[in-house]
Amino acid sequence: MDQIRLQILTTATVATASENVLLSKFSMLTRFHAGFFRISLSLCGQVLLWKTLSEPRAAAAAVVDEPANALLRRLPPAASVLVWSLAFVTLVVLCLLYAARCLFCFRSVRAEIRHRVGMNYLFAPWISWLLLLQSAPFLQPDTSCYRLLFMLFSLPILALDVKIYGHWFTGRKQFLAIAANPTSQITVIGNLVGARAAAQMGWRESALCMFAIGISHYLVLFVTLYQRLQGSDSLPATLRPVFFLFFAAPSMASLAWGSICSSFDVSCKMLFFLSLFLFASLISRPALFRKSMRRFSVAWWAYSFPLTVLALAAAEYAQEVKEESADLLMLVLAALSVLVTLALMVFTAIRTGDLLTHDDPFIPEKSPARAAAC
Amino acid sequence: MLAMCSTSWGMRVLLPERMENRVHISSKRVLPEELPRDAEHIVTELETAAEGDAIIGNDSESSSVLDPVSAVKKPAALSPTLEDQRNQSCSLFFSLPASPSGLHLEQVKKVIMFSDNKVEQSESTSRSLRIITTTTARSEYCQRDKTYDSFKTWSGRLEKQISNLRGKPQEPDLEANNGYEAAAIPAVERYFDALEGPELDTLKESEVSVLPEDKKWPFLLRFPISSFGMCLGISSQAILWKTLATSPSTSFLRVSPSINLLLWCISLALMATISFIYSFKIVFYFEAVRREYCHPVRVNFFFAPWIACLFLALGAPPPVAVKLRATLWYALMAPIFCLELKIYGQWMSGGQRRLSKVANPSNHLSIVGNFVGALLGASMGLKEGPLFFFAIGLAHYIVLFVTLYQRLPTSETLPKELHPVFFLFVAAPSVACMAWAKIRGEFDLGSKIGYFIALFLYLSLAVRINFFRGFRFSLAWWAYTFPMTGASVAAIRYSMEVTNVLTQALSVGLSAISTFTVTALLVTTILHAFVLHDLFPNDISIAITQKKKPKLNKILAHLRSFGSDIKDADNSKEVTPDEAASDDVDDNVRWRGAAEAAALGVASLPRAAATQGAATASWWQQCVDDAGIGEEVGKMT
Repeated sequence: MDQIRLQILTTATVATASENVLLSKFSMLTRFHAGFFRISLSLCGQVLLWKTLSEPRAAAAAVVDEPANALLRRLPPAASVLVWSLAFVTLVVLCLLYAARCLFCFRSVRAEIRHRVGMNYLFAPWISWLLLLQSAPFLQPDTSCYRLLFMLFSLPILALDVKIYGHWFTGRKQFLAIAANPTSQITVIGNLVGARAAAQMGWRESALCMFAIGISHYLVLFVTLYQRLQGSDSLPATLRPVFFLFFAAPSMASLAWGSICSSFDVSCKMLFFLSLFLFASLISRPALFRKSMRRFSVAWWAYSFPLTVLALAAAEYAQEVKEESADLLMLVLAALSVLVTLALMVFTAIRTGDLLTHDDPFIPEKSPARAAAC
Repeated sequence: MLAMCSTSWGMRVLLPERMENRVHISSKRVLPEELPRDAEHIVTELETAAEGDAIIGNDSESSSVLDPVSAVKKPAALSPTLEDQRNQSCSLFFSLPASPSGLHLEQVKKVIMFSDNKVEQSESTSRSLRIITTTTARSEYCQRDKTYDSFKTWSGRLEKQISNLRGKPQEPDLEANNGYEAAAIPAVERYFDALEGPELDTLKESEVSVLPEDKKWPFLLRFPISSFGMCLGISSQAILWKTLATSPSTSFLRVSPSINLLLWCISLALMATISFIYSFKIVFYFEAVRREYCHPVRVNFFFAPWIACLFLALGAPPPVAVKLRATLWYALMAPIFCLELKIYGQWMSGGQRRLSKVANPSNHLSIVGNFVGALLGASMGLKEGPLFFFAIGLAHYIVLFVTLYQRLPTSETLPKELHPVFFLFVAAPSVACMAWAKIRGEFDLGSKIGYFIALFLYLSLAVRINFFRGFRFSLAWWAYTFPMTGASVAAIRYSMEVTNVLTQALSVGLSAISTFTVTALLVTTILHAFVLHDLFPNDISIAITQKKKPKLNKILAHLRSFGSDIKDADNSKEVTPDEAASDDVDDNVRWRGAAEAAALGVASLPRAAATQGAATASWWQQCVDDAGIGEEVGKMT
């Protein structure tokens, strides 16, 4: 009798032990959410920036340009491949984790899709893949493999467009006046990245189509976000870094239009200036970000991608307007984005624990039992 | 001017031996609530009738007491009699800052001592309520008017410094140790709660201003930032007449360039004058300038000086215009850029000043600056800078345009009736179309689109001209004339592009309308300035109170009206305590009763008190209970 009891007890403890392991794995999965793709967004953006900067640029007479060009040309191609591989590996890992989450914790995924902040980050993996595709060192835009991959990555974006934008103007609950928040600009950025990739492939009409969808919704979103209507709730303080998306969207729009028009014309310049102004506006309000800087979280990664896109747009601008001040601006912004990304990588390496133990505020809290049931 | 203090009922300290030790609170915190006759004290005394009609102070004093302005009391004279009656009298001293809003009543540290054993003798004793107003012993110093101190720079200390430097004798600064406490700027909701009207310049019925409304405030305090609107109006006329003179499509009018020169010189002089005066306001009344900055409508007028300078540069006669350098453009656009960073940033992320709430037609002034700067920069030959400002202006103009057209239910400032401020709608598209034409070098499709939008808006307002009625003239109306002028200049520019009879007639017609409007406005301004003398009325919109206390405000409004009667009232009015007690059981009225009795009483009351001593006592007890010091009184016995 005692032996049986002991056996039951041991099996019970073993069961609870394995359950604990399972529980911990699941709890990690529940804490992992689409916001983590900010990391991949930043890294893929960085790769694209490096690739753009290291390309031989048109001859500029500026004194500043020569040392910069020399510096960038001295970077061995191996370095860019290395960075690309790092970004690739990160993206693959994140995708696998998210796939596991979909498999085991579908309830959390469903809750995330319905959340007004979470739903926008569903675009993030596809944006990262597209950026990676554009900066792939070994793949040329005119190969069929490239085109296939482009379609593979942009069709989900279009599907998500239909779902989310449809909700904006026909939905009963998640319509724009209530759901609008700065992360909604990621949906716009998704369309614009797709438009740029398509334009670089030579598919002008698809590029124009995606650009039109993106820019029209950007107009509506821009006005709505500026109005800050009474019914719309404000973001939690820890998510303030996403305000940087305000200047990511117009920069991306200028890049996309530049690719479509094959030149950085007046509209591109105007969009770039708008993003510069919004950047200056946010930089001059450090108090806005103070609360979110108290504790490291994955939201900090939201700083990096917009800076990278701004630097990219500045690079295009400097190439168009061959002036010293423009080159200087480009260098400053590029350096800033690289520094910020490096700092974030260091922070992540040091405080990996913080990334996962801190529940992202927009996912509703779940008890471990429910998490285990997933 | 009288006010009652509620909390001083509950305080108790021993009666000070000498009157000079009485601490008066009037300027302890430099408050906007102070009245010109500062440090008047209302001393209400209840005496037992044991000594008959023992009067504190002599007759001559009591009669002069009722004239607060000229009363110069010698407090020392009161003390002997007080000492004598110390044992017999029950004295309640209310020493109050003469404050209309009573917001800082809790600051009063005046003493009350209430000998409760006298209360029980109420049947046999009669009480008389006497009021003696005293001023503090400052007769030997020249009195500096402290009413407006909280609106002055560093709460008046700058003025003291300056008068120190000038060698005037200084009064003993009783507040010297209290440090500088700025009156906090009201939050934006307060402006919406307290003010109404399309320019948010009229005080609502239930509100009270922190500065006396019946007195004329110092000139600098009455000089609003919207005075720069006059510069805007005149300098835009200079641009119009320059365009009329130089444009080929209107050359048939044979306009002389000297008109432009004349108008330009006038606007230059006007700009210099107004800037000069306003810079004095910044130096001496910085707090008032801050309050203007926080006003949701007035903040947009802070762009007006810079836009007016840009207009001056644009309308400069050709010999002057060629000498203008790019550095001037950078110098003028830098303040506009900084202001924009602040204001658009507030729209985006700044707490309560969200656009859906504060949007009003005057916000167009903050947008137009971008387009005017772009126009000037492009005229000077700059390329990237004008495009930068054009882009910013366009993006934010779209946001503002949509918001104003929506007329959201949460927006509180859009007037239901039409007001000249609506003409600002025409400003942005007309200047934008000209700026775009200059940037591109030709009047292309984009400019034409902007021009037609401006024309449409002008037409929608012009056909509703009947509804522009019933508004008090204000200097800000000058700012609403420049859109009309801007539309005329755009029409002239369009007629240069598309030259036919219709366009030329339109350009001439619009120019005539704008010139006529400016002339009419000029006549009205001169009329108000020299005949009616109310060109600069009291600037109520910056003098709203920090917090709303409607009941007390109403009481104090009543009191003030009583106070103004006090010189005549004397014995003519009697409000018996009975009446006061029989009023509604309402805080409001009870206070009013007490206040009225306090404000009026004196010689009439002994008679009333003698016959109705019991009523008096009960009424008094009621007041005491209401004030909540009953138990404390009990403790004193």
